[in-house]
Amino acid sequence: MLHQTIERIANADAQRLCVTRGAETRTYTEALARSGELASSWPAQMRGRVGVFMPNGPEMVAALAALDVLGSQAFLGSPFWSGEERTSAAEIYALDAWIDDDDASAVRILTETIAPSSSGAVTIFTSGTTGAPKAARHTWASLASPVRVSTRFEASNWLLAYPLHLYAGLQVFSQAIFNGASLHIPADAEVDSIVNALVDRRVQYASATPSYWRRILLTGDADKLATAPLEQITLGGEPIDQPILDRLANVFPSAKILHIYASSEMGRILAVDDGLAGFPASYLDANPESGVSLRIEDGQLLVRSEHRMSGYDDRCPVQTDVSGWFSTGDLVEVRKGRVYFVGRESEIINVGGNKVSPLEVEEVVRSVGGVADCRVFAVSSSIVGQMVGCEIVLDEGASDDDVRKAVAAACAGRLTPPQRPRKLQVVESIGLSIAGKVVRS
Amino acid sequence: MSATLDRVIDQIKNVYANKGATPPALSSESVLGPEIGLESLDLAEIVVRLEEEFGNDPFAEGMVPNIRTIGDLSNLYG
Repeated sequence: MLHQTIERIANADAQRLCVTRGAETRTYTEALARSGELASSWPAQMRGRVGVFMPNGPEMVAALAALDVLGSQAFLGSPFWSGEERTSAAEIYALDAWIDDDDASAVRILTETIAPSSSGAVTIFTSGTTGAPKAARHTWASLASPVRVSTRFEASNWLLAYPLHLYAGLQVFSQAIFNGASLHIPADAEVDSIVNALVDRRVQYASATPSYWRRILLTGDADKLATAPLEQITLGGEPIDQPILDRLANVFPSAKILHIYASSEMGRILAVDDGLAGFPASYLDANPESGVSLRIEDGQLLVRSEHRMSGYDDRCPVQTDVSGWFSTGDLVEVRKGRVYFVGRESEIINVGGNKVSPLEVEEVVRSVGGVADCRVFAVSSSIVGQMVGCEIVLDEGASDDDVRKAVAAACAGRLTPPQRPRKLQVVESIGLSIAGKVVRS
Repeated sequence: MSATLDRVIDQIKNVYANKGATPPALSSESVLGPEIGLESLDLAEIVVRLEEEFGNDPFAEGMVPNIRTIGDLSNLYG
């Protein structure tokens, strides 16, 4: 399906740009040629279960198309995994071969013969869990099922900010490629490179986590950013708060701002475009995302979805029936006709038996003048188990002492004693995971 | 006053500042608790701050004697 799409677009427009990374460019015609070259030169093991541990780039796109044409089962893992992590995944999932770095012709062969493959699959290792990573099995058809195909997207420009081995990255990739659009990957993770990609590549559609957007707005060249021709900004991967929606609307007044909630297992679950955090409670009765139903049980959001994976890989140590209601692990609260995400069940901080949502604390801290960004996490306490810690990044020119006092006053006034940060540190920047999410552990 | 007691009292004052309150007069005899406006979580915060200040947490290391006053607390770090 992926290979056919690339071929169709290459035949229709030989010069159409498929993917760029920094100064590198590859047209659909070149992507097709490279994928054909790989498919015809790869050893037989590449028709079996294949690990792909490649960085975002033109070579990974060609490799995915080549694996698709061969009907291989691709297992997408992080390019930052250590040798040990790759070997462990290869053993658990009985991989026949893997490819990594930026050269898909250098194949690491792991087995002598391969078991016949029934059909192609794109399997994603889910992030953020402990123990062996779970492997959510999709196909290009299931990945493409939420894609909006429209002539307005044809030959448009998309930013690929998410790693391509994660569901969010594959979603942006599918949305762009299945519409014949061009994908643009920043040369590296530096904010200047991201701003350059947005402006120099004339990006119209950009999707990233709120943390990623905060970083761009905080340290990006504001004058240059203002010239980015963005038509649609999408946020996802983390709960969305009102301040980031407002800041983006302020900096990019002509862009439509959308936030999406999705998961590796369930695919795209819902989208919100009214500029407000959370989602309308009416979605619980009738979700505009067709084929996806929602309900709340014990404060947790449950989902039933037609965009879901076909299942965890057979060799995955954890097996869950995903045909019915699926527990997302995301905690929600209904307030005034709107459903708000209050955090991951696993991220709740337990302060002497009081459950504290890091997000509720962050929302208060982030609203204080002089605070550019913040991160709330658990601090271990010998007296009450855990307490709330908070790192803050100051706005340029803000006084450390004044901001600390203002944060303390805001928290004392608006938060309960267990919610109040008991350890406050001023830092230069907030660390993000490879998926662009705040790391809380 | 000992240097340790000074440092302990400074950290306790930070706990008041963190809740937007003005500390009362504090001495080694001050009884830790509601009398001087401290809640139980404030005491836990004091211990976290003192761990940063002194690099150790006597409460995590097992048995500690009864701590009633600021002086008792200071003795654990001195």
